[in-house]
Amino acid sequence: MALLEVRDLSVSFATLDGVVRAVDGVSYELERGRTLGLVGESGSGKSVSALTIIGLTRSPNATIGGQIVLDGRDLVSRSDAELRRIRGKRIAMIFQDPLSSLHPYFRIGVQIVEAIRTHEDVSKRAARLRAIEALEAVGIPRPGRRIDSYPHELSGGMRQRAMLAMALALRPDVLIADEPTTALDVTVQAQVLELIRSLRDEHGIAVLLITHDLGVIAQAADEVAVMYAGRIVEHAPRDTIFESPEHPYTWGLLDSIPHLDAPRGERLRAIQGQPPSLIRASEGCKFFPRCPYQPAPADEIEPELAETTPGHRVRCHLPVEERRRIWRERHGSTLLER
Amino acid sequence: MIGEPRNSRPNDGGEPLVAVEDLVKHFPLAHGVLGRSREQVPAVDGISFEVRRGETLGLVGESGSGKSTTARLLTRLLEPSGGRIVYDGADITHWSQRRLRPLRAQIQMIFQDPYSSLNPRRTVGTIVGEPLRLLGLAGKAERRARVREVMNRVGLNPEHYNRYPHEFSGGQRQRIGIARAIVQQPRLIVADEPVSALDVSIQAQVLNLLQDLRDELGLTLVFISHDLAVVRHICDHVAVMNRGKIVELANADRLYSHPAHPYTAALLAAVPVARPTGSRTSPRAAAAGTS
Repeated sequence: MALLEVRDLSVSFATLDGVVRAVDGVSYELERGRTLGLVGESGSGKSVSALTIIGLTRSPNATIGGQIVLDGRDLVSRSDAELRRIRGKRIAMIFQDPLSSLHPYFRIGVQIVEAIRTHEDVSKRAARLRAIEALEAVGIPRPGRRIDSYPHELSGGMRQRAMLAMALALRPDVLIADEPTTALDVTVQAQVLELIRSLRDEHGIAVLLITHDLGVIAQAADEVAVMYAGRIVEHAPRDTIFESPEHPYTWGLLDSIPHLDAPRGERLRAIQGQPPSLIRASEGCKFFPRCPYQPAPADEIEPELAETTPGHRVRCHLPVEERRRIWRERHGSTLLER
Repeated sequence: MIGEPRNSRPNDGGEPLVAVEDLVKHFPLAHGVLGRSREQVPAVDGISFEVRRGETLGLVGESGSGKSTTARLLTRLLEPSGGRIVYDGADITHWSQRRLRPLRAQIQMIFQDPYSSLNPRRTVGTIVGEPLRLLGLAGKAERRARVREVMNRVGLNPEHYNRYPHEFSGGQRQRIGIARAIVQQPRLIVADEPVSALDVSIQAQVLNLLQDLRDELGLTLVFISHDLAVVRHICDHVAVMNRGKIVELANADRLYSHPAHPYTAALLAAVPVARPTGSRTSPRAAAAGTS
């Protein structure tokens, strides 16, 4: 059974311009020792769905529907106080910019100790030892000294490691990493992703990895959900997403990025148009206005997220055979070469 | 002052449009007594390169490598501490801002964050037309027509002339930045991380636009990015920067297939490849590591 299950989650915000449907009927499961990658562009709802898991989207103007089930109990319906005991302890989260999530006035050790003592009845001394252990576990050199550093004294990569140490000091079951490497240089990014992978394996943590970067997905995820306009449009094991994706949006994402081993100088195959408004969402398929393959806007019904092969779900009106043919045409030759 | 129409890309190995020799920029690190700086940190530490007309030079490196400082030195937004900048045969290293003014139309910059580089209280038409007004290059009606033409060229709706920057998406804002740069018919564009803040699907649109404009207008481009795949895609030559120095400068094909410097190889090896198992690190980088 899944450790954490998101069932038909929807999150909308009332704004002056209208109701923004940020997340619209999203379901996924997190399992121990596995990483689910949530990929999408700005406004796709990937971060909002994750923030909602730990209750950070709760506000008077937000409406949250559906369920988030941890250990058989729903988190959406729990009180703020109950959620506070779970947040950090059972489910930890790290963010894109570690500098703005660490308090600049306090030494990192003080911040980690505070996190531990908020959730567990341990002495300051014991908490400090745990903090040093955690810093060591995330590969911070000389943790006994670094624990007394201020955030600004650390490099970007070290700060993200410190955030991870804080997240892991409480031995959570679930780690949510929201664009954890976007602010980091490539060489540091590779180290941090490797670190998340080894922590997942050693401690059997379930990881939800949110990113816009398919390179990060390829490196670190076991399973991938592609989000567009608040919806999951494709969900599959990682290799399937790269080898036989079936949604035109996924194709577009894969083809939009220049590859190091692609022929040089050719134009990129960009996705035309702009992401849709989440306020005045169109009926039917949300990707339709940008889709180069949909024949006519005849169908005003949104496609279901339907399983095409076991573990591979796609939200698209095109017949399965047609989708597979198009993908082969776009990429068959280059895939065979590899 | 405005060059003749440049329809073809002269790629015949002609004269460099811009060349830098042993360029240095120090920033003061700490202030001693009497406010005089004692320690200096070299952000750019003796770099040399040239960019031929119609060519695109990529500057890659990690944060702190000095690539953005180089961009600001090239456009003379910063005063060099040493070395030379030669533009179109003239040594402009220490030209006064006043003397540089006529060159400003020819040398343009595109920034990473289009929103913070656009005045929020001006309409798009005003923003894009501003350089023409400042340089006195066109009358009001002519200016308006030219702005509309350029807006259309970069994929903005000329009907949106009177809208404000906040009414546009990130990708459209970068198109405004590009329109402002090309409205004066520049010869050299220095683009500092022009697509890094954009979503992937929009990034591809803007890269295609830059490529098309470069080819159509015969622009010479200095393209700065931390993204090695993007640089490879758009550049003819690539300089890899590390700690203020160029560690490797080569033709793009050669640099990516046979990186000569270990730092280049390490950077390439760290790039995650958007493909599944078996090819997680770049095959080229892996091959280069063994050669």
